[in-house]
Amino acid sequence: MTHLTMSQILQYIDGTADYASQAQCTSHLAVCERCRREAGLHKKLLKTGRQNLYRTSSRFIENVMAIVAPQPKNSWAAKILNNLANIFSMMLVLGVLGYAISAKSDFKFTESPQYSAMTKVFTDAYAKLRQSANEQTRQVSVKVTPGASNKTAKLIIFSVLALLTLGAVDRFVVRRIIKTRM
Amino acid sequence: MSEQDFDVIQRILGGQKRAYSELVERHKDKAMALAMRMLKNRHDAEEALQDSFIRAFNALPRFEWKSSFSTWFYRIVFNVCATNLSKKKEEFSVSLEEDENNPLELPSDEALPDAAYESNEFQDIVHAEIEKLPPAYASILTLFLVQDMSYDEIVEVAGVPLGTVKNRLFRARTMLRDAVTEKMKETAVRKEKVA
Repeated sequence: MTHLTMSQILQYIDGTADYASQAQCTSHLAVCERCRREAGLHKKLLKTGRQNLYRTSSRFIENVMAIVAPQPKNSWAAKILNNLANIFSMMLVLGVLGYAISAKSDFKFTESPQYSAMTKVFTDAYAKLRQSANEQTRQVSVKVTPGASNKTAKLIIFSVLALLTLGAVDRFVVRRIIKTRM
Repeated sequence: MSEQDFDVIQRILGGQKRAYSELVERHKDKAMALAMRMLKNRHDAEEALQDSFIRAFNALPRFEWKSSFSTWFYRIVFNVCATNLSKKKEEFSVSLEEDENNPLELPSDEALPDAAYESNEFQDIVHAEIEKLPPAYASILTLFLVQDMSYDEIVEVAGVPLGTVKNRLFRARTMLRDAVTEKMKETAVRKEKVA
């Protein structure tokens, strides 16, 4: 039996053989174990060789982009404006927090002056509930806010937390957005 | 030309230089395969690739849309790597005699069990043996396998005639087949001895 040549096998696998050669190869491979094995080996080589195991280093794109399109450096005026904006936004957040804390301590529940006969039953029940709730609130508030020094400590903790949150948002969110959009 | 590449290039030419990172991201790993197979050294390959991307960026306004961006870009990578090889005084071109000397046409009668060709070992051997091929063959084989290029595209990238491309590809595949079969046999014999 005349075996297929290497060239015929490769053309058959690649699909570059003409119709007559393709048909001849197909019928030969059906009966010839040796050529079938050879074709199988080349198919496996092709499949394995197509896998790309090469990767560039993690900073490759950054390095290329730093040369082809370097990021413009901010002017000193832009830096000052940027810092002022940060300070202003921090003050705004701290102001809101401070107001929320102080407003909470001034909060008083006001009663409706008019009672109707129809709603008396409900308002009495409500009054009882409110009274017991007030009792509990008083007990809790005595435990949590014993004095002015505690309030100051709260303000300091809130301020530090707000500053940390703002710093984290600026570092991990805002700067990333600016970096990807620019 | 890939429509995605076309859109990105239009944006870059329109002034959005940072969009070039999308092209780099899309082509860097496949181009790295070509550079590695030609230069056989990770540091040199990455440097050549970086140089190629910078050259491509600078030449982008002169890109004439006659071929796909990838074909045009791989030609740059190919040329940069070939120049690097010649600077190192390493032989890149294959002598005419060797190029036209066709290897044996008949497949051999030796065989290994099918399971051997399914193993991870087989994959490792194939990749190692492709790396060992001379750059002129390894580059053509990589363009054919990894870049999935047609003969005509390889002709455009490598700048050699169609006959040479076909001949080198045939030789590369034959050399790879022989080297892999040989290694697999050695491994099988070593395993038998250990057992």
